[in-house]
Amino acid sequence: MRAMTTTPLVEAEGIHLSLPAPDSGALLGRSRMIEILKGIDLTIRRGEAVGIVGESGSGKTSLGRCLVRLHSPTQGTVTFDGTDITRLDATQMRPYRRRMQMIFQDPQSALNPRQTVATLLTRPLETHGLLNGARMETVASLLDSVGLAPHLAHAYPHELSGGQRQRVGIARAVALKPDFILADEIVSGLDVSTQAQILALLRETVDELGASLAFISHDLSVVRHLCDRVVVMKSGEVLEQGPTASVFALPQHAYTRALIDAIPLPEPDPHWLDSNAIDMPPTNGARKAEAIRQTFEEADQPPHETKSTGSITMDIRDQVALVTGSNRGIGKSFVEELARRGAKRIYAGMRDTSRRPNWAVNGADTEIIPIALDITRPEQIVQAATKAKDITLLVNNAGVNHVQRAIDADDAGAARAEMETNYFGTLAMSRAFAPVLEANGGGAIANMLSILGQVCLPTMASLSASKAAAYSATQGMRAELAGKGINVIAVMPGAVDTDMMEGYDIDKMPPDEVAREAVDGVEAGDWNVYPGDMAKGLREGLMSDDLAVQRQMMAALDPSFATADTAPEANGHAPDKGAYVDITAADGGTFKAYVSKPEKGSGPALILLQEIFGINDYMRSMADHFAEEGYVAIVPDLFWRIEPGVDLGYGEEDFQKGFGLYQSFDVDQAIKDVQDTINAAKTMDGVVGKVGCIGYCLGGMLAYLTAARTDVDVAVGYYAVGVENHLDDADQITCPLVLHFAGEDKFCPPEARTKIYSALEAKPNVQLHLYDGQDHAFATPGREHYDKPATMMAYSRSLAALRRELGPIYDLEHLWDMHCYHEFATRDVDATMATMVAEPYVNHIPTMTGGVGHDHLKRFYKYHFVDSNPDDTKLIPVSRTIGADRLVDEMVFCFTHTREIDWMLPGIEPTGKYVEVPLVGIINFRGDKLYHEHIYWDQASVLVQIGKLDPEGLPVAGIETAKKLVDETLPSNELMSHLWETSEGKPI
Amino acid sequence: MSALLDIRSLSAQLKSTDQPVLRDVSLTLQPREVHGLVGESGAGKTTIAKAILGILPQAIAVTGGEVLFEGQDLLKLGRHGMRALLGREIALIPQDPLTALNPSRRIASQIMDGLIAKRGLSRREARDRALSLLQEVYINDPERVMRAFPHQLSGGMRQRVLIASAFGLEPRLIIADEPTTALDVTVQKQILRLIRIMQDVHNTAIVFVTHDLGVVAQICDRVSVLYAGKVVEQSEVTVLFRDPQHAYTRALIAANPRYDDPNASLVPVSDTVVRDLHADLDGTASRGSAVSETVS
Repeated sequence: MRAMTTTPLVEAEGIHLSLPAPDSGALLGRSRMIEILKGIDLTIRRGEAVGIVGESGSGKTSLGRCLVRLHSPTQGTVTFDGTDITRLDATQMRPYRRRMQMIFQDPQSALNPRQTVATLLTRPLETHGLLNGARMETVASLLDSVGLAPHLAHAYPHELSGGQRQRVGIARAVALKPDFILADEIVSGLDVSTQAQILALLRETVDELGASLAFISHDLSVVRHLCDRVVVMKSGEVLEQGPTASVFALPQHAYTRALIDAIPLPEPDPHWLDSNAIDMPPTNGARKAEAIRQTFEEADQPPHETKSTGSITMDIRDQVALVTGSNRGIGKSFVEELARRGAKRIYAGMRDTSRRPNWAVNGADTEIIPIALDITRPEQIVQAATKAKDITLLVNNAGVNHVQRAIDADDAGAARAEMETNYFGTLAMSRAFAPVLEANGGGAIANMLSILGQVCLPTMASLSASKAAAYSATQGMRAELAGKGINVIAVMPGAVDTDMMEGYDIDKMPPDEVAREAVDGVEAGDWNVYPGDMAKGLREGLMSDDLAVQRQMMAALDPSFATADTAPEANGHAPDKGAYVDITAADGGTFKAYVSKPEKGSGPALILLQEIFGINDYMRSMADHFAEEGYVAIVPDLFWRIEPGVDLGYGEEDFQKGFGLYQSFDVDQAIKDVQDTINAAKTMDGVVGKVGCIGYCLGGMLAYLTAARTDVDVAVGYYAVGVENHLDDADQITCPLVLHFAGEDKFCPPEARTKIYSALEAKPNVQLHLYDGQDHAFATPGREHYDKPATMMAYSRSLAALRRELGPIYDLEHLWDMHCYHEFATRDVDATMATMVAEPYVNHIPTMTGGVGHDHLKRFYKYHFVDSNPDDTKLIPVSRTIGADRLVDEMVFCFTHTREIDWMLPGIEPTGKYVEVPLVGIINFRGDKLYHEHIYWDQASVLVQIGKLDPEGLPVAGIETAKKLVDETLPSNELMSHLWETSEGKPI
Repeated sequence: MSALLDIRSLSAQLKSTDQPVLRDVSLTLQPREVHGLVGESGAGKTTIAKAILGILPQAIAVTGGEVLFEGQDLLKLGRHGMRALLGREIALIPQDPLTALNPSRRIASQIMDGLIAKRGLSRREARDRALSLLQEVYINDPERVMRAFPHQLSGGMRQRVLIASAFGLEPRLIIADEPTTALDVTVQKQILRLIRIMQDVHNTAIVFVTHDLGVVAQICDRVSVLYAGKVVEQSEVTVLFRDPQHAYTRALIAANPRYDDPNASLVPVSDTVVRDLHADLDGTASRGSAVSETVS
């Protein structure tokens, strides 16, 4: 018997987890981020066995991995034995690793194939320094504990059967005597007899250790046998959890019921295949209507309803009804529809009977009696119930028409009261009239509940909540009143064309159609009624798990949704402008340094070494730039011993002054100041990790000397001046050093360069780069010799060296995926921009479309890109190359030209043609943000494919270019076949 | 009614070790019947299926018996004769739809191939037929699925495509090899139901290979329980579960966990049962050799 206590061992609180989607073909090809777990709370007590069940994709494995910190949750906390382990690093996790062990689904791949069973069993003990006594004795006793023969110690995993391997998996897990064992699908794939053995062994072993067990499985029968408690997951959420016995006996959620019902029992049941639960989805074909009806009805069965409750049908003819809010909108249509169907009498409830409308009843002989009924006023409800004593049908059309007015008037109290009407009004009316209906021998209550109530529009959250509450109330009433012959139905139209929906630019349903279908539902004794295609579509969309579908729907309902939930501070960021700090020199005195920190506040240190112009705009802007790259950038004032605070421009006069300062500059003393700066950096707030340096001109030479004479970790120098005079230091260089030389640099003429190259070239940690045709200061924007391509080239090389030695290493692929996720999946422009630097740019090379700078690019994204792609647009990834600061994606872009594509084919009317074209994106990053995208494709191929370019006689091709990209064996040289023939048979 | 499929005393062994893999297997299948082959791994379920399809691995040699399909011995048919029959008369629904479908070709062409090759339809007819087949298996956006590549579909959808593809050829017999093993339980139920509906509409007989007794109970008319290549019990499915005759069948049922009976302890197939089974197998072998001695 297991010893279960109430002390929690593992606690998960509000766990969220997002991972890149594995299916790169699904949505525009690129892998996007998927929210795998959506706020999970779970407690596993000491000695308790908890089953985590759900179908594939439900997130059960991911949750397990979060519990043992194989995944770090994106949000939320994981507590183990009272300690928050959510953010512990590998070293800090170590003591906990021993205490939490895992057994995996496929022991074949979880066990190292090159290790013998003995090694597999003892390695974890060795790692944790727990291997006491004789190794083989330990192995033998572990094998014995899981019922394996001692001679198997020398076997390799492939020599074992599946069951034996799983036994080794268990032995390996229990060897460390853990407090917590996570078993992930450990019996799937095993024969039932072996499964029975392994389950018995697991249970016995866990009980013996007194450990807690999280047992992940898709097999509810197994969980039923093994676990004390069960957690049912679907789409990253916990649908329900509780003691195993009660969850199986009384599942609270329809999905749990469906999961249980779907298990085929080894006992023939002629009705099982046709029994309800989640079944055939809607189809086109002949069976469409039937299938839809079944699917909806079955999925909509209220969880507590017993099958014996037959449906309560009703013929409207000669019935007496009461309709609330009957002077306008759906209520008005209801009155008309009921009259048309021959209702005897209708009590038309409205707030103000003096404003009775003209109901279009076309001479029906229905008696319509307006009554004053404000359902927020209990005394009026009671009064109505005494007056309308003969009704058999109650239509609760609890409106919220005045909400907008209240919101506009900034009257929160009134708005809230109005919204509560949905719930309290419906409930109070039903309560008051249920005895009336019962006394009249039964009847029906129809509650009008917009399906919007189930959609959590951020802008309508409170409204949605009130609708959802009314829906739950309806379910409860239905269960309660079914025994009294009263059918309670929920009518959930989509968007109805009433004044409430004014301003929503979507397909709205006429109120009279809603009323007609709703009354059909009443007559048929239905449960949930979804009038119109829109409502059905919404319903299906809501029932699907596809986040993108739901987002689209919400955006369709509320155009502001796409941008509504973005925090204002996400709109780009302004880097810290930086500040001056004091640094103490080793020989006394202090000097200033300009410090610019990355947005997140910390990073490795990078010391920028000045030109002869002091700490000027260029040095500060470069410091701010490297802060964007993730470094704490520090620019020490190295002229301080001559003249503190030098800040010069690049004019002739300033040059003369700078040159003068340089003449009296003490290089050796300056390197000591650099060392002091390095020392200061190491204790500076925000600096984590190593220290590097980068210098320009004079600073280039200082960078070289810093590499030789200080303990800096990496140095980069641009067009250094005077290195040739310090080549004695070359042998002292132990850290990586990168030097960039300009071919035409008169401050470092060819003879000087030759000397430098011969002294440094052979050193393995030194990289020398020569930029032919470039002159001194080619990397300073605004100066005479500025050259952008050379600047970018040198920059990439510098950054690669810095990243390699200092970090920070960003997961460029992840950053790109996040960007694409917002660009294509959520189509959230603000979120997309937030993944980019403050002033990014995008250039679609062939068409020169895109945007430069934040506002320009945002405008482009918002109005010409995110919603501009045809629905079937797809990007098939072919290759991805990841560099230090760039990522290159090679793809095939596929679409049917069903709409004008602003960025690719502006001005071309849709041709309906299907197009496939190779497409290359080069994505540049600055720190953890995207800086720019260059997108290339073969526009000629696109034009040929849509029939706008006749390839006849031109060396261009259509869809063949895309086909050949994927299949290189397709014919080559077809376009130059006449030339190709001339080399036929020539020696190669 | 004459049997559609009549397997008579089929025996096979590994060429390398002479280890028997099928021992004197006999079973008959009437038109429209669903016959389950159930057993643990290595029991020979898939080997029987492969023998029917004429795709036994090179390493296995048939040592005796015949596989009569409408009176014709499939074992003597040869590769060419088999090819004419496959698809047209006998089709397969495989276990893993992803590997069964060509990842680089669209669904449309993969369904159309068979219709063109086996049923002689024109491309246009094949396309129309493929569309209506997809509708028939409750795919609600058949146009999209036609254009899709296999990886763009879920496991359940892929299996629907293969079911449509198999039934679309209007074969008399379908071999379903663990067609729901890789699927989630709710999807499995849909697929089982779909197979039943299609089988009903198209009047097809099915050999249903599975390790899951629950699945057997819900979809099969008759069942053969296999152990080590031998049929240990064969009967109507209702009879088998109500009154299992063989100790091994009883043991298999007892080892199956049931959510509706959590307190029943799961009993692995006991050593005694296994020992008896092996004694029985050896007996079969010796009887078999006795027969051959008599013959010689």
